[in-house]
Amino acid sequence: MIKIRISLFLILAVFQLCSCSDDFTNDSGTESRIIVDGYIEVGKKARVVLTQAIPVESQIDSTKYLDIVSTRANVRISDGEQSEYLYLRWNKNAFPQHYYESEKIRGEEGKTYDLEIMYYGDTLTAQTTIPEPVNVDSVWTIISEQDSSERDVWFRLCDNPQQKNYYRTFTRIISEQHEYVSTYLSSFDDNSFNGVCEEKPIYKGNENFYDKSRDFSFAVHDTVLLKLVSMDEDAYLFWKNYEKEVFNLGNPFASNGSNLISNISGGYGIWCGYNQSIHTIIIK
Amino acid sequence: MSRLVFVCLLIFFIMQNMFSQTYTCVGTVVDMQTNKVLESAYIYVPEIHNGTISDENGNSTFRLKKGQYSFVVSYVGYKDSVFQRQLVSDTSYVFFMQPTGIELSKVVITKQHNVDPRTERMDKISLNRQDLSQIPSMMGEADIIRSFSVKGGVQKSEGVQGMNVRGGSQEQNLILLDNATVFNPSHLLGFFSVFPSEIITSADLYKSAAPIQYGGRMSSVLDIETQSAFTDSIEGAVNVGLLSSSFYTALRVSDNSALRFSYRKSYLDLIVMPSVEKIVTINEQTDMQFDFYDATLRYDYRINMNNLLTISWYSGEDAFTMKNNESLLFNVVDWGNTVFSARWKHISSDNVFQTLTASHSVYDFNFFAKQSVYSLAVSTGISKSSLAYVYKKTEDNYTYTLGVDVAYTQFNSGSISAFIDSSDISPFDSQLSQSAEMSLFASYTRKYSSRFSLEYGLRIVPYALLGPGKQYVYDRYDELTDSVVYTQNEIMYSHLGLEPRITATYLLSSKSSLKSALVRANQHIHMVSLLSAALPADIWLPASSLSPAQTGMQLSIGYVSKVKSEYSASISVYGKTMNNLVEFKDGFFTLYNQSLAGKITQGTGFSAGTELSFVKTEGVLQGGFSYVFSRSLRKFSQINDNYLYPASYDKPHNISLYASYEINSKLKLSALWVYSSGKVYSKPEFRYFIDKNLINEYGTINNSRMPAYHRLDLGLDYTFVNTKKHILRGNISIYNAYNRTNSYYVYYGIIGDVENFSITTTQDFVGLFPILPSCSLYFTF
Repeated sequence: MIKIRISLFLILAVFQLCSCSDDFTNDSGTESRIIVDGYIEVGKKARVVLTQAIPVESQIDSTKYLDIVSTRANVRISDGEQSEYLYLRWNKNAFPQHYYESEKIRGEEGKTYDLEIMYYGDTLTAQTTIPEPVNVDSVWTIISEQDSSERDVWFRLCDNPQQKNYYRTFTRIISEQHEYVSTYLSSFDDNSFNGVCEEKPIYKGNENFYDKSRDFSFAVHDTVLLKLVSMDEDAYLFWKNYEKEVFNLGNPFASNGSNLISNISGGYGIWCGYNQSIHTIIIK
Repeated sequence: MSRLVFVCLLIFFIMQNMFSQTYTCVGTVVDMQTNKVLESAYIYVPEIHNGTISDENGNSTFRLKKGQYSFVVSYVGYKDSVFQRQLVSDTSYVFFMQPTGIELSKVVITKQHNVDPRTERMDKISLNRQDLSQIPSMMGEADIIRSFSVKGGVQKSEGVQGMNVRGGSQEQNLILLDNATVFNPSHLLGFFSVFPSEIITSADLYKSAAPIQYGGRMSSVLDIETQSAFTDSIEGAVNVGLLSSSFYTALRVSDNSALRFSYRKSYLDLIVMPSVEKIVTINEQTDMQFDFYDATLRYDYRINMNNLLTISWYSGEDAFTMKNNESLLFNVVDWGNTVFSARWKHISSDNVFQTLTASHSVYDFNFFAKQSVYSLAVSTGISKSSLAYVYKKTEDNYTYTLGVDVAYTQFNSGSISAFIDSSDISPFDSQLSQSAEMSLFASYTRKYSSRFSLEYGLRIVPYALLGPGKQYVYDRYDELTDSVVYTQNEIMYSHLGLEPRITATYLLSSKSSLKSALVRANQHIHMVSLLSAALPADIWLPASSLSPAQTGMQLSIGYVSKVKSEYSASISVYGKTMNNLVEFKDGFFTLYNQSLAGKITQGTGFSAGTELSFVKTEGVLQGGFSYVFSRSLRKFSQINDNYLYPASYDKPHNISLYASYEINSKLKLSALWVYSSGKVYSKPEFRYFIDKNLINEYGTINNSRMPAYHRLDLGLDYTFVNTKKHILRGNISIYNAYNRTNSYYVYYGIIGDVENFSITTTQDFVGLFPILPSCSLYFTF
């Protein structure tokens, strides 16, 4: 008798446990998801791209362009002294082709820029500061180890010991590219060379994810613009993790699968200020 | 007159010594095939009209006068044997028994265990060498951990190292090889364990209350004992398979001592590497290689009838190399364990067993990557030295055990050196630390009546994290506010672990029993995994003020029944809580530019489940079925906004069905079918553009489940030769016989052209191992 009772009890316990559901979500609800990809450089106009999030599995073609690229937002920046609504621009060589750009307000070293975006009742805000300039000592090329017909670009950078500095590098091959392309491992801080000068290589970056060729060198006779910028800590954290996510996606043996830390309040993405230093190199 | 008295006394004295002096003779009964000691064998000495039964160490003791004796030894499943011995002084004998199954041409019926599952310890699973051959071997390798995983409560996930016991994480299992700790029990993505099956004699897994001398981990104890080296003269075996080959040999060094050596080496490029290369999305210019080896050495020395010395050593390593000529990327990763133990066992005639064990274990992981002028070397590791003494006394109605264990552990939680050309850009100093831990333990088991017995025990475990070292202090915004420097042997953090436990067994009838266990556990060690998947880039950490000691409780209740002598069924229910579990705060960690400090956070785990199993242990058809329902959840204040989420190995349903069928004495078939709920993963909520790339935004952690996992393995063993001296056996096995693509990883793809705004984004589940047939040949000499 006791045997049956015990069996019953245990079977009931099993059913109780089986009925536990799998649902432990902390669903934050559906909201319009606006992505900001914006920056302002010294002496240049502010430039902000606004897009909408897309589903994990989706098919996009040009008919969905206006659903994804936002062209109906009010975008305003202010530098503490003046403020301005950005104009919607179109450039067929840009990606995406629509973006917002300032007219009066240009970047100035040391200033803080507030960004405010109003889109169908949602308001997003962000802030960034343009730090002190990059001190690039020299830029040169050497023959590439991988392919002797190509060249690797190197630069020498001197760091300010008084503060924590964050840098990023871009290249643009004038004959081939309309915009700057960030290099491979483009974002770095001054941890390993604080207060001293250091020589670093440039690894030419890929324009987009599915271009998997890892060709880090430049072809002879190309004219290359090398842009080095200094940026603030929020921008550094964002771009550093962006690169890891992009590079490691698809590789189960690498660390990935985490969210980018955005400095946009109410949205996603980045608003950053750059203090840039541009160098022209003719690859010989 | 006095001289006469003296002479008489002298003669009397001499005659006394000659005729009434008795000697102690200890006989050990051993299986001549496996060298395993046989408990409960009957030894009868006709000259004294008396006999006795051998104990759990195979020993029986006689006090006999000098002379010639016949020792008649009998045991179920073995040929009755008579051993003639001349006794002249205190001696010990070894009686080698031959199993009866060997030479019969008809079907063999052998018992798998001589242990009664009713009185067997709660939540214990025992496997011996025969059990390993019950499920199909993979690539010719029978595997201990995979054999445990079909019994219920133990999860061995494909492509993941280690095992999860009752919802606990991998490092919560104390794994012992001849009483030395093994930190990483897996080779190659968890496909094999590091224990070559030919040298194992028994393995016991305790899912809750283990014997009191074991502790220090929250979830389980896996106690693996290798074969003793004792042999008649020389013996050995060679196993040649498609994936790896191994051999072992045992030699008799003297009358009382013997040596055994084994070695296993893989050559995986034939089968496994193509599978791995398929799932890792690197272009065709990449060249990958993987290999592993294991070596063991064991020396047994019977000092005298009461004392046995055993020295065991194991060393193994995995090495993975990747080269990409186009991007000049060169990558080498290697990891491995080296363990050593020396045990002195002393048996007294009053049923007292004492053991003194000295052991040393090392595990390290090294990663080296070089790309053009940039090079990075990362290493992590752990090493532990310990000395343990256990005293155990057994009487008819009670047993008590007490002892002490002292351990000193050194941790390397991340040593990095990075260079660009020759300039050192290493971001921080090596994170080294050391800890000391002592365990004082005692347990008392008493049979209160013919039906009821109770065991209660206590472990007292003082622990200290010692300097030299630096302790970082963070404020609630995770900003570093202070760092305190400690000198050599200064106590940085201490904890006193108290681990009481109580287990009860009640025999309901001659066929069934009810058992229960309530245990409290501590763990003064943590492990975090650097990577999202299988390469064992693990960091071992000591308990510290930033990551305090783990504590937890487990309650389990079970019912066991033997339906007939060959069938038994059991059901158990358990619940566990675990505190101070450790995870990375942001879910990830980029080791190359940050130190660990401030990146780890604590939380709680809950796990509960039910384990049902049926086994048939005799006959030509043997096998079993198990079903486990279990949930394993986590709650971390800094992860997932403090909401409960499933642990990464949470799988509610697990089913195993296995069978082996001996068609005749030469041919045996085996099959295994496993099913488990799909693995949880964090599905992104949406994707978005930054520059010309698509980024995933993840919502709640582990909010989705991959498709369910199920797989069929088949095996066939054919014995070509089976004589007293030699066995030659061939094996064919098929892993994943119906070639199911079981999801291992989620891959987010983009196809199309970003610039023309024509893109398809996809989510695909990638599998790891397809159908893998293999064969192997086994030969003993």
